[in-house]
Amino acid sequence: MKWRERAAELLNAERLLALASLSTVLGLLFMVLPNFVRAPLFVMLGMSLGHVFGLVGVLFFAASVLREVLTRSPPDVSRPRR
Amino acid sequence: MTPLGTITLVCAALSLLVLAAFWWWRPPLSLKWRLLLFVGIAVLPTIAAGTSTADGLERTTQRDFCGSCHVMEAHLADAVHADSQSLAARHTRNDLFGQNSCYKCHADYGMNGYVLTKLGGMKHVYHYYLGGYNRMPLAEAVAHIQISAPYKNQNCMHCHAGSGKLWNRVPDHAALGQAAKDEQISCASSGCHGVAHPFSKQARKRAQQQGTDTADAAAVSEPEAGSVSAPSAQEELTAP
Repeated sequence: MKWRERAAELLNAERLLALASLSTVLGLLFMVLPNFVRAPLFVMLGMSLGHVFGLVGVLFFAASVLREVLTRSPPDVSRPRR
Repeated sequence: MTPLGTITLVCAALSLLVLAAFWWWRPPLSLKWRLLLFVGIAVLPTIAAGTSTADGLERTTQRDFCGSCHVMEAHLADAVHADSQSLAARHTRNDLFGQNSCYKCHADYGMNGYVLTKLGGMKHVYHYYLGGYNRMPLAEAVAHIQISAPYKNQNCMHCHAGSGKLWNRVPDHAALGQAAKDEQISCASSGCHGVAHPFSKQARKRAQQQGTDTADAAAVSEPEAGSVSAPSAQEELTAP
């Protein structure tokens, strides 16, 4: 199996959505962390990694939507509409 | 918790609720669920990111935050000491500085000042966690840590603009005002208003004195061939 087919099989829309959810959850955890742990390191991590994971989550979500739209089977036009 | 922190928490909770509901029920991806996921993955986290960043940046301007690294404990203690007459303490006692006295004096006030100040803060975090300062004893840190560049008079003149009657009534200001504006002399020097954190200068002087004494003693005692002399205090200070 070629690597492209293998990648396409692995990264189906549902898995991309799962990755988006996971990344978003991680991002949100980093964002709320400085509310509870006030050490400078956690404030900096919260502001930086929160954004990174949040952005990655949005990108995975966009990829999931795109993948679903692009691989959607075309409507059946073999029979004329009544 | 601050209002911005509360908004962050609420947005995060709502977002997690949407994601948990989706992965619990695994419904078919209808338009309704797509929109809900869009809100849960993109909209709510964006709001949370904005509020958490604003809250975090605001927190980094507070005096307690600066003093939360142990190497700054002496600076914080002096600044908030009721009897201290240091420049930092006198400014901290001024209500206009509020909880932000460190930031208001050390911030960069240029056009990109806020960003530059925050980047400088990132450098402090790097030095603290990866540069060895987190393992340095306080007494050593007080003598070792110093401002990375000469303190700019512009920062003083951000508030003391040099155009008021009171300011101009001081003879030294009239005589040296231009030199101060040109950064030729420092407002926070011992001849003018005194250094902001005098205890750190004294500690550095003591450390240098110890270093000189050690070096002198080593020179007087005529080291024997092959003997290894102990490192001076200054060498120890510069190698955390």
